[in-house]
Amino acid sequence: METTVISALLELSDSTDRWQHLQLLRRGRLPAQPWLEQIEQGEICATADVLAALLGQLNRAGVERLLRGPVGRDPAALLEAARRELPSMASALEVQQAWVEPLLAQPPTAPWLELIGLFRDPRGAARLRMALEAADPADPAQANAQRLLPLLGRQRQPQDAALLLELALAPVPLAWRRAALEGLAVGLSAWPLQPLADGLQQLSLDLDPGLAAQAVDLLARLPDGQRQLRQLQGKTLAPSVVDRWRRRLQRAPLVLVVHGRQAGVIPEVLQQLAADLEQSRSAPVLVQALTATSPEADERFWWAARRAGAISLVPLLLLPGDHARSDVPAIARHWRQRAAAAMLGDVVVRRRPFLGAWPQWQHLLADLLAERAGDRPLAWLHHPLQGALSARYLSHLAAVLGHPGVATAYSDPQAALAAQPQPPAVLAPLTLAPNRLSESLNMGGCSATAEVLPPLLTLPTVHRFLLAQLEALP
Amino acid sequence: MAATLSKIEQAKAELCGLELAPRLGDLAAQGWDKLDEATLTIRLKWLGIFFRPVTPGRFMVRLRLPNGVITANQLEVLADAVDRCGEHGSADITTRQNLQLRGLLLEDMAPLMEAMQAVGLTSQQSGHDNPRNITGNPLAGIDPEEIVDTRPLVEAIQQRLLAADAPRNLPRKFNIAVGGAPDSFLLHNDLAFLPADHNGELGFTVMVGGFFSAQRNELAIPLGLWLRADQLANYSLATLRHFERCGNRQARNKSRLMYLVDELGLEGYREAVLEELVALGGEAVPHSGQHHVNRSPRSGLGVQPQKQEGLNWVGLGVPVGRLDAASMAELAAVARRHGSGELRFTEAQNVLIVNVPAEGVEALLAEPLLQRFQPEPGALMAEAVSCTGNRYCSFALIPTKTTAQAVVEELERRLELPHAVRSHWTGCPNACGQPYMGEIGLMGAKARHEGQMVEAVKIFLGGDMGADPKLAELHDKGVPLVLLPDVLEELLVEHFGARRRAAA
Repeated sequence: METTVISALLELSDSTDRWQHLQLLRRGRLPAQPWLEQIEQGEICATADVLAALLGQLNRAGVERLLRGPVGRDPAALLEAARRELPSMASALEVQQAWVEPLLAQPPTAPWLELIGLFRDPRGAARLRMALEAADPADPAQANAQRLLPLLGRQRQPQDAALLLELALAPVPLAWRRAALEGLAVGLSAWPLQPLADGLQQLSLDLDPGLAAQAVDLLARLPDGQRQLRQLQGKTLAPSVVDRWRRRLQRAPLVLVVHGRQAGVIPEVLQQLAADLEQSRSAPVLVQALTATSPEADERFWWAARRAGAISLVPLLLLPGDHARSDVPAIARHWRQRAAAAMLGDVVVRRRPFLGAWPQWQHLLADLLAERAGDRPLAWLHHPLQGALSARYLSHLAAVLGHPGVATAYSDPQAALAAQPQPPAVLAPLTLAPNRLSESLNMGGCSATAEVLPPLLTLPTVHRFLLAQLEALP
Repeated sequence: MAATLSKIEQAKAELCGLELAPRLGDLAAQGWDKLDEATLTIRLKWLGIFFRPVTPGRFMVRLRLPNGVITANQLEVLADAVDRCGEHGSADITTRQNLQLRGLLLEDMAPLMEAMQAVGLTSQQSGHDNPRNITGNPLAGIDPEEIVDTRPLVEAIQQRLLAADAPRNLPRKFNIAVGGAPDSFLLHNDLAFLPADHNGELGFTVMVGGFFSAQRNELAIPLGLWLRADQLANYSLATLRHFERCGNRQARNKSRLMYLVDELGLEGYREAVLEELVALGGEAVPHSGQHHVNRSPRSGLGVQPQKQEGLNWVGLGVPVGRLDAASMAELAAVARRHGSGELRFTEAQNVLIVNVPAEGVEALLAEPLLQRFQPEPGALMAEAVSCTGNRYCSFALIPTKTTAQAVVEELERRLELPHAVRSHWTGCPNACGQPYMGEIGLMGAKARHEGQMVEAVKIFLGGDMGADPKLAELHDKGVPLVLLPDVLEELLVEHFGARRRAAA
């Protein structure tokens, strides 16, 4: 009687009815025993969808019966069903009790190893390990064994990290290496940290960009992942992997403090620098004019700050005047207050030295001026500064640049230049962006008697330098 | 009493999944396969985290995006999460204006939840027996034809339903939607609020009981109540409290709201919910059920003028709703560059970039991303809706998304259509892809072909979401996938005015 009913159900012309009956079986609303009997007797075909519905409904005796019959002799359909169905139920005690021992009683060959690997069990792990240690990845006939690697990872036995890493790094077919890396991924938190980090760093440099990219992603997930990622700085990564590496670095948002124009307007070259930086750092960049109120920081800025644990304040100021000495500390205090108000308890505001103090900047400037001036006399022009500290800085800079500096009022540089014993042939206004000084020089007749260099940031070399230096900040 | 509960009901009663939130880091350290089955497959869904048996170890996160609204900043955070998953990562726009991310490790969950919280996103209670993402007019606030802006209403309902005192153990999932335009077709929801007048005042009429399943498919029916806009949140809560208390917990296939309405009778059900509403201090009045929704949903694609002078939205077709990390990041960047940084997802699984000034439209249309996500996709691709399919779902009988995309592309090569045709593709009778709503509905099946059992679809025809809505009906019970382009070609020519292109 049952035979007729089940066979009829499965042969129904409408496949929705078949699907619905199998759902009832899967949910335990139909008794499993008649199905098992008819599979044993060959009265219904044990297709993958039938077995998928039956898997969770059998006890140990039922599984043993199933494996003794046609399903055990040709387990292909069982394997297909198990791949789809078992992962969500393999942790259920009753399912483990039903399946693990009967599967361990099977020979340690391909389909049975994969089936036992779907359960997390030390005996199963040992079998997978043994099989993989004996496998030869170079033998195409053994290609299926690579399927065991993610299953070994899921067993999360710390001693298996070595085998998975070895295979991920070995000169074996790519499919094996990827499977080994996926094994590392799905058991990530179980592996000993240092060998894992070392191995992933090595894999990040791999010639296969897919493998290297996943290694970078996994490094980023480790407890000290940011430090590990920073150690890849300067290493030879594939271009697509470099992009990924940049995206994984949790860089602090930047606040660039600059001289604004009237009413706090930010010159376009500085805005462009900020936009380029934002793209290359994959982190927000704000530009704050000294004389204007702080720019709005949106939720993305605060999220990046929280993620990185910091906000970096970079004064793009070329001289140690009052702005650098008084205004910048005040701006930093203000950002600390804002971070506290945004309830970012662990976020620190890191204040970087003003740009003019960076040795690399001074050397770049020296090279640039030397190149532009050649043998001609050059003077660099700057705003007058007060105090001993400023005087020491100016004297130091003049020594590094090999040219004298001339302090001048921005509105009337002619007067200061007229007082020079030897008229300079090249004038270099010490400013990143167009300002009153650069404009006065060009409009006031200076350009007729001397070459006036443009604002520094309009020079591609300077733009590239700042982009590289600021991009490298954590 | 507890002994009579089903396994699922026991799991829910023992521990609410929300309590796992602070332990996500520890759970990840243990390893996902150390989790008990109930935690893995049931409780984590209260946090929006889905174990996927087809990709064990690689999880899905389903967001909540009330009214389908998302900002560029938020989308960027999600793109970053998907990007970390490399080739395993992807995201789908869902039929509930929502987004689900795939390929995540359990280790990703704690930092992702924190990052989402920082930008105002949540995935709370987006799966299993919970009120799912609440939908509204995707054009809310910008629609020249808008009757009412649904965004604040949807937001208020979500806040009320996710509050600590709201139900957390419903008998079954629950879909809610708010209509705000003449094309707000929402009758597939358990509870839909449609704009309607009462004594000259604009408010909402209440529709109840819509749902699709393997056993039964219903459009929502008028409950005979009218609410002011400020009552929607309270009414939703009253409905859920009553459903939590009285819904069927014995048979999950008979537990959607319509079964409760059947059991109590429409009048009895109305009285019971009203009582609950009054206890919450709310009020409703009797109503005929007449409303202002009278035509099929617009696609919203292409460049369209907003109600705000000088601003436009640009609707982009996302083939079968599938995104990857790069396209998510680029969508965010494009929205920020050319619009106000806001995007909307539609129930047809497409995306809208809003608040684009007229002078910025040309630059937006020149973006390389629009080669892939076209503002004017083909007449079939524009409204091809698809469930996930068997790449990620163990119920599905066919690879729905890839099949839909390949077949639609092939048909667009063969045919010219005078107008868009809405096709809904679903992988199994559970009908997540809403096949009954399509002018053409396709459902995964098996059929015999040349002596073999092969992947196939059932075809449904005639779904109508206009003034006289009706569900699509079965037209063909098993077309093997290999024959599908030819069969659909004939159908489109015969029923939808398609013309065959001249052979190249």
